[in-house]
Amino acid sequence: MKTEIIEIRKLLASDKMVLTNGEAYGKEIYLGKFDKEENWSEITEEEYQAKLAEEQEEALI
Amino acid sequence: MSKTIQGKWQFNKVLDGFTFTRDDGPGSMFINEDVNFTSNSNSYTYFEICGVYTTANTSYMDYDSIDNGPIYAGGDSWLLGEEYRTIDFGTDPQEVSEEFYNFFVANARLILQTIAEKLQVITENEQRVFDAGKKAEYDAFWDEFQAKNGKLGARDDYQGGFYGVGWNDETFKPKYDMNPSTCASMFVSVQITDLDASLKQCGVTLDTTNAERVSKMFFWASKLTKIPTLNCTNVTRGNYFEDAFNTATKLETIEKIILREDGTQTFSGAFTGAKALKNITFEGVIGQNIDFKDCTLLTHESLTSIINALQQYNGDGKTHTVTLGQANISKLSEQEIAFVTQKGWTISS
Repeated sequence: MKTEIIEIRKLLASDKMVLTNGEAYGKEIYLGKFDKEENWSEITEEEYQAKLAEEQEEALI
Repeated sequence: MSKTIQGKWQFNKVLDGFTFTRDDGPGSMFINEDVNFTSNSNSYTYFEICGVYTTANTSYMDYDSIDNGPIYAGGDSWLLGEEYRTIDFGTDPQEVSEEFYNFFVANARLILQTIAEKLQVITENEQRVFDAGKKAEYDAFWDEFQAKNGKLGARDDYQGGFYGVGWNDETFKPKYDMNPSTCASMFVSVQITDLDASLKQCGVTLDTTNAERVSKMFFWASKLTKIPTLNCTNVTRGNYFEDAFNTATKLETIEKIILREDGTQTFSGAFTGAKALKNITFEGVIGQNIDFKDCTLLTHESLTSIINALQQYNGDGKTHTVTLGQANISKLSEQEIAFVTQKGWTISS
């Protein structure tokens, strides 16, 4: 029998900040098996909202 | 039992086997025989219909005193052997036997009535004419709308086919099955509530098996609540599922989305603003980033379907993200979260 420990790595954004890897956004991130913490960085809520608005505007075109 | 009859009736056909009696003695002959009564202008002619006798002066159009029944014969048209003959019962209701009444109903049509009766008939006819007109209009529109190169129902390019708020449960009544080669922007801004029910009500199907594009297919379809199964295994062009259900704010159920097995299809903005979505089932493979953060009402069953469809990655150097939103993450157990991350997917809130 072989025992494997599965690690769940969780990133939490600072207050009023949002985590992003340039494509996805979130305040709480569960890293995939091959994902790395350094792939993620924080942006402000305002920047996040502006990004969402921009994407939705593009959708309307 | 007696009935009443009035107005001017015109026979629908030349009557055979009609018995009549002339003043020069009873006789029997067919009314459609060529009989020239006008030569007998000073005499009366007796008609017998179901046992009721009538008289008619053959010299004039309208007619005459009745000896044995309240019937006036429309002289000329009756007697000159024309195909359609008339009898005028006058404007007051006349009591006649049921047999007699039935004879007229079966063989003639009322052509001159009281104003009240006319209005009644007009009302009844109006609905029939309206319905007939609507049906003709419906056929003409959908025959043209769903045709391709003159072949009825053969339209396959439905890009923007039902684009706009004018399409609703009343106006969306397709006549033919739809088998589109493209569904891009097909239902943008429609006001249809239940596509599945609408299609069933019309007795038609929407088969997307051959569709290469579905981007913006239901974009801003803000009243839509249910979508039937979409077979998207041939969707390979046009940014795949980009904005396919974007801002379909009342959409609760997508019966099933059948994806390709190669995981190449992308989902940019596909479910943005689909905040009522509860039920969704995937078949095939989700291989690209996908975002359900606005779909906070997803059932656990739907979430299970999503995470089971995620492609198994074994370290291809890329980050693969499924954005579920905090509300949905909280519905998952640690084991389920671990199951996703072990498949090589990052979960984002």
